[in-house]
Amino acid sequence: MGTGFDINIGEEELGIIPRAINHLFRGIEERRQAATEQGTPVPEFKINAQFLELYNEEVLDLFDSTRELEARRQKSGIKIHEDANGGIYTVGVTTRTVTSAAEMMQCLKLGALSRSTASTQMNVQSSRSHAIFTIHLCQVRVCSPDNHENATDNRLANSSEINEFETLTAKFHFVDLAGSERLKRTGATGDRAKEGISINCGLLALGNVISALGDRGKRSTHVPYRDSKLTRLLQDSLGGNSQTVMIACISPSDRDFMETLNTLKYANRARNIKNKVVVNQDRASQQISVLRTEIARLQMELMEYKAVRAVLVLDGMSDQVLDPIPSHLVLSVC
Amino acid sequence: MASFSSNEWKAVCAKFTNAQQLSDVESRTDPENDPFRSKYKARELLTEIYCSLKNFEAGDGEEHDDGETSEPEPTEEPLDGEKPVDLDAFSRGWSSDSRAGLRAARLAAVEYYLGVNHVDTEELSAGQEHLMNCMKHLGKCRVSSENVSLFIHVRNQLGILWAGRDETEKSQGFLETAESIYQRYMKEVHLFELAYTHTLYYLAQVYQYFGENERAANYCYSTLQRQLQLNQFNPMEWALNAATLSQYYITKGQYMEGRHCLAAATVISGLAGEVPSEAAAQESEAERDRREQLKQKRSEIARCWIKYCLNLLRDAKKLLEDNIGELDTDRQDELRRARRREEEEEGRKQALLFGSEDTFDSIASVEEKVSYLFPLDFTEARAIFLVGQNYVNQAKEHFQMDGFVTDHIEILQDHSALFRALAFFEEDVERRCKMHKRRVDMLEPICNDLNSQYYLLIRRQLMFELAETYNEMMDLKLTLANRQEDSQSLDNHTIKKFNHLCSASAKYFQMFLDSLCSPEGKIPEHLEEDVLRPALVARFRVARLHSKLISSSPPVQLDNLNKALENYKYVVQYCEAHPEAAAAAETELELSKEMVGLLPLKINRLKARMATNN
Repeated sequence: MGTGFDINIGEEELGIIPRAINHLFRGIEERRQAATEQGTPVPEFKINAQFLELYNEEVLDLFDSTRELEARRQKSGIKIHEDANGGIYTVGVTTRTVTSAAEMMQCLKLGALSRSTASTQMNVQSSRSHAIFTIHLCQVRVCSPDNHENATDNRLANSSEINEFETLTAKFHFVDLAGSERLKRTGATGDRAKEGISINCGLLALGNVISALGDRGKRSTHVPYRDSKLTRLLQDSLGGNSQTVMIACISPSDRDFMETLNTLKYANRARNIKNKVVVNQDRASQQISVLRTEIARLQMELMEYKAVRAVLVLDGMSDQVLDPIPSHLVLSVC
Repeated sequence: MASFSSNEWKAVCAKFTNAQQLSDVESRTDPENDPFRSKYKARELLTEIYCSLKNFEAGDGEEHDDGETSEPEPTEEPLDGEKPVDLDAFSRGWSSDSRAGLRAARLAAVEYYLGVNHVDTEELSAGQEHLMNCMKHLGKCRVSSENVSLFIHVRNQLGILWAGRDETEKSQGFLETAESIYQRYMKEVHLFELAYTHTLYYLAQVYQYFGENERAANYCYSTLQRQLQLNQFNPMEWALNAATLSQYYITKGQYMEGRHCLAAATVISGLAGEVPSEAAAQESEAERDRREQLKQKRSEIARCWIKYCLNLLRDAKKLLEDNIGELDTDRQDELRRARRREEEEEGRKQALLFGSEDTFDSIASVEEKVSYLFPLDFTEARAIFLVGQNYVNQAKEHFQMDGFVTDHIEILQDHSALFRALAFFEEDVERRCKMHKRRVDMLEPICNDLNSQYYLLIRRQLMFELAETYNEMMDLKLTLANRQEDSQSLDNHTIKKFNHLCSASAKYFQMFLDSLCSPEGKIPEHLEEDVLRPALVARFRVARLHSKLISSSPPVQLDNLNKALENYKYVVQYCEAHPEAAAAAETELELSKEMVGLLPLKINRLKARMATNN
């Protein structure tokens, strides 16, 4: 998440977040333009941003500049809530309304600064925390007739007079995973993270080893995840609308090996969280067995029927039989 | 002979302290563009110390206080971890009191710190060299309580180093030697104990890293046990780890071990103290957080217990079921006999044992509340079910619907699965039906309440489960009806009930299928892998359900048969268009093909009858 803040960098060199932000605002502009040119009502866009830091299952608001760090930590008051109607949402988190790409980049910068300042004060590496930058996008637009091709709504007849509005929402999460800053470069003492082996004096990582032992794919076990708050924040993206796409940014450089590895590990774990519908291989179930019996019975009936039909044919009463029988089923002799 | 004066020695010690300070403390604030500045400084100091030690004590190497031979006996120590270790070699060599022994040990220590220093600055080869030098110096010494910690530490470091290079055997060699040294030369030195705990922990990681999960699990257990013994643990952290470890054992079908881990988790989590009351939580943020934390973690442990009960029931079912999924009384008898035999013999010895003096009993008493044996009849199954249900209620207290939708629903799904598993053991068909009804009552309201955009995937799961449950109930009613003489003598009430179950099942399967469509209602051309089998099975079931609906009205019957045929055809046609899909629903495809062949006949006969009756 650290690159690309300098707006003087050419488009080609920007990181994914600035690109995404630029793309977003360009898209907004294009839609506004198009509507203006066509003389249709211009859609309204509302863009909000939130920036959270997760450290050791504590949630910190990176946009909250009003309070002292220690006070902020002790009185976080931030809740991650999930309800049946709204999916996942946060309570007590500063939401900034943004109207331009530059403004958004500014927000991002301030939040990032807040994050590293906090880390130094806590005497903890910012590499240990996750950071999540979330953009909420809301569009209110007129429902065009094109959107209702297959509808049998008879209001379409007067669509030019009645303006039906629809609200579309989308969420983007940009996540900077813990362990993705160069531990080695900041000289963390005694806590060298190596490929797969972590020398953590507090044995905190024992949990990671243990949870890696089980069978992740199957849902026959429950694993209390270490990163439960992170997963929870992303939950409705992971388990909800199947249009969710997760883009994991990794690097081919070996200097970024740890970052890449951690990101891929998390992405893989997130994939398995996805709620699949599991159907048992009911080959031998009673249902199937009963059905086979029914089929056998039907086949018997068919044989009997074919036999009767053949008799009727021979008896010359075929013209009274009304239902057509495929010729290959007619028996030549009974 | 030259040796350190007390001032010179003080200077050396001060320099050493300085080096430690630089390495451990000041390095944390090194700037990003010069991250190893302090470490390099520390290295210089250590190198100076090494030279001092070497020079000052030079020439003394040949003298010994206790008259041993001048040359140290060649050690059989493996230099690269590949040769077998002779532990006796460690008891040979210079005693740590002797001057030579002391010198060797000091040089070894400095080499150790130089080794770690180089590894910290990513100079692995140099680090390895220093660590091996450390080993060489130590090789000349006898293991003693003063230096044994170093014997182990250096091997820990080399173990990690080789693991980092993917050399599992070498890594293992060093770590296992460390383990052997500990076991052989156990002493009650605190730091030494900590070093051994770390050895176990690193071994756990090495084995897990290379996929040897069983050994890794054993070392995880050992690490946890040592944490308890040495009183070096955070209760909730420990409890969660133990509960997570139990899940590993459960997947392996080792229920005795799984139960023990869970019981230990329950007992140790209790050591974290009381949950702050609501009142206390309202007064202070800290108390509120603590309350949330404790409640959450204890509920997580409860959820692990639920999985224990559920898996135990399911695995028992797999052992007991016949080829159509019903309880096989012959197998039941067989298993009962086998169990009796085991009880008569020694009985299984407990491999895992957590705890210390005070906790052994508490853990045992938690264990006594639930069996680890596969339930072989309804009574035993019910006992396990009730334990599971109890934990469901516990878990739901924290993971309430309002606030924790996803977790809450997972718990409900587990509860439903507990009922389903218990139903297998229930002989009475009516009572079985009632169990399935409980499942429906639990899940139906939830399914309808959830926002379909945010909870698409969960809703699909619920729809499918509801469809299958109603289907089960329908089949049970059918069984009951078939036991009667003549299905035509079914009374209207029964028929109505039966049709209701049929329709409800079909409705939920259809809802599931509709959820796969585009927002405009278009059926997907291609089914994603995740939903392929469920979709085909759903079609198949809808077809069958329609053909089972009872009606006295021929037009209605015709409509039902047509719908059935339509869905059977879909299965056949989809698999023709997507050959790779056939493997996902072999049986369903086979039977659908049959039905596609047979149903038209039935339909035509019905039409014929309808025509002649008009």
